[in-house]
Amino acid sequence: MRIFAVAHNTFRETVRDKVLYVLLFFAGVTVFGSKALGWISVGQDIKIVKDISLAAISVFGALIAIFVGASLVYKEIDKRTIYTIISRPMHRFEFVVGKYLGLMGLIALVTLVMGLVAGAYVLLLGGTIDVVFVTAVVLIFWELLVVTALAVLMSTVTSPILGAIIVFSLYVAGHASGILVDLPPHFENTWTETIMHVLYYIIPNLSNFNIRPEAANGVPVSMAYVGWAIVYGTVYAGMLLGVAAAAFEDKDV
Amino acid sequence: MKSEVNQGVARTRRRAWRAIVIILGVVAALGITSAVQMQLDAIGKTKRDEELLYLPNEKLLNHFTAGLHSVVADLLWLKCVQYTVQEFHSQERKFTWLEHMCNTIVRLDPYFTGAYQWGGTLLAAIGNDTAAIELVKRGMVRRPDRWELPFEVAKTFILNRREEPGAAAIASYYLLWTADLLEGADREFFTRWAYNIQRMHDLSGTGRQIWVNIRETTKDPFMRELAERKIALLDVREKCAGLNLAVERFVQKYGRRPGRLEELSEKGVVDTIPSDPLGGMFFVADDGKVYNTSVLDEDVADRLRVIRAAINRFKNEKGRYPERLEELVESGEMTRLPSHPYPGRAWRYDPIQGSVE
Repeated sequence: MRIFAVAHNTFRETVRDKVLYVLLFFAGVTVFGSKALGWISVGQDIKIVKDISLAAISVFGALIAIFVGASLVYKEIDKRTIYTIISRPMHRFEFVVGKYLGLMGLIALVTLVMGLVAGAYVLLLGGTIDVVFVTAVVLIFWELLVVTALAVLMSTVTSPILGAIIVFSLYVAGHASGILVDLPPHFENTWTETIMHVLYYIIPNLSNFNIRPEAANGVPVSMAYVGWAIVYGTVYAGMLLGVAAAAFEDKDV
Repeated sequence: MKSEVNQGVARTRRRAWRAIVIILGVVAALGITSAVQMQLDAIGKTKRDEELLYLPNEKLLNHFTAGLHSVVADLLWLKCVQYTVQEFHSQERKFTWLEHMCNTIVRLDPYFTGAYQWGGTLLAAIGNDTAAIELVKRGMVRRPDRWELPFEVAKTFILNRREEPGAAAIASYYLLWTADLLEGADREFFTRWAYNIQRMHDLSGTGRQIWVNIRETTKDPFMRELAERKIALLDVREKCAGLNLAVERFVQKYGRRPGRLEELSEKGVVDTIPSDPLGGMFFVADDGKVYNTSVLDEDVADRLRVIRAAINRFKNEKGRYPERLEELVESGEMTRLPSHPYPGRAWRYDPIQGSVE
């Protein structure tokens, strides 16, 4: 119950954040502006609008998670409002989990709104929305859950700017982690290969959630794949949140 | 004092235990995510032929675009269309990067049907039918459900390879493939078309009809412009063939070749000498045949592109330019050296610069 009180307050607080509306404005401009690119695409306008809309949901969603999430706990400490919260009969982990759930609510709302706007725009332009498109939006949401958990973790251990830089770097690295297992043959059976493989499994593999090319081209993706990707995201986000709660337990405020 | 020490020891113990629990929790969670990752790797998003579709450069691009590789493919496609339009309106019409751009786009987004289809159309339109067919066939592996791709192969055989033996049979085969992916009236249309081609063994009329369909159905101004030019060229070729028949009639009647084209109308063999909507002119060459400069210029541009591509391949492999153009055939870069379309003219080749004109 206490967790939900924190979550509710966090949601109300973050939904008023001006950064959110600036980023949503740019996301809207990107989605609606994508049609202009379609004019010179030799009949590929719907595909391009789908591609850019889904990319905008992912990128701007991640930016919202990073900019709002990275300052979430830090701001409470900086403004000393944390004292009024931790002096109440509640565990610190409840505070962290509540903050995460509040931000998750915001991310869910943002993803839903952007997904609905993108879908309506595609339909308005004469395109179709299929199961793969909806699934792609769902997986983007799960990707953002991992990014949000990373942002909350950083918020408990470092300053907002450094945290935002680290989370953004991990966002980029998380999409490029495939390169770690895709080594040239001369690395076979070497320590480098072993280290790279270990890193591959440690770094959050965000490309697992990227079925945007399939969605833009209407290529079906197996539900088994989607299910496992959701399991991966849930476990990874849970782990990050556990570490964030533990880090906050030990923090001197 | 003692109780404070005991409290301190107890606090340290609690922290140590918590640290151990956290580490074990992280290891367990990473163990689960690693196992799930293996599962995901084993399933894959869809079946794919990695070797065929990913080459190193595009692979790196895929990794370093933060998951935006399909958006990068879209932007490259737009660049590709702009580049094609610019080259189409330029004097030289080299199209040097078209094939490379198309291949890069479909490696970044292997499901991009439009890039396979229209990339194939553009490559075939500039005479690079080998690259067009290769590109579209790769698309057929990735998108076996799309009828547009086998139709594109059939179209290339009809438009570019209609003179080759067996072209009608191959075109018919791909048209039947197209029909298999369609239903109802469309399926019937393509099936009938395939059997007509098999029966007639003549692809010339069909070729014109394809460009007429593109002109009438496309929403893209460049594709319409391209189709109009191709139709105009086919019309000019037909007029040329008609004038050559008139020359034969002239020879039968007067026992000599006409000195000037205008003699055909002056002697009443034809009513009028046709005009060329592309701004070229008809002329009688020394061999007594009628040619058209628009058609010949188009053929010169197509053949130059093929020769220049072979010279570049030769340079990349051997580190030098060929001393003579015939060396391209001797080294296996070309099966035969295309002749200069203008009668009595030959290619001018500079072995130092590797340039041909």
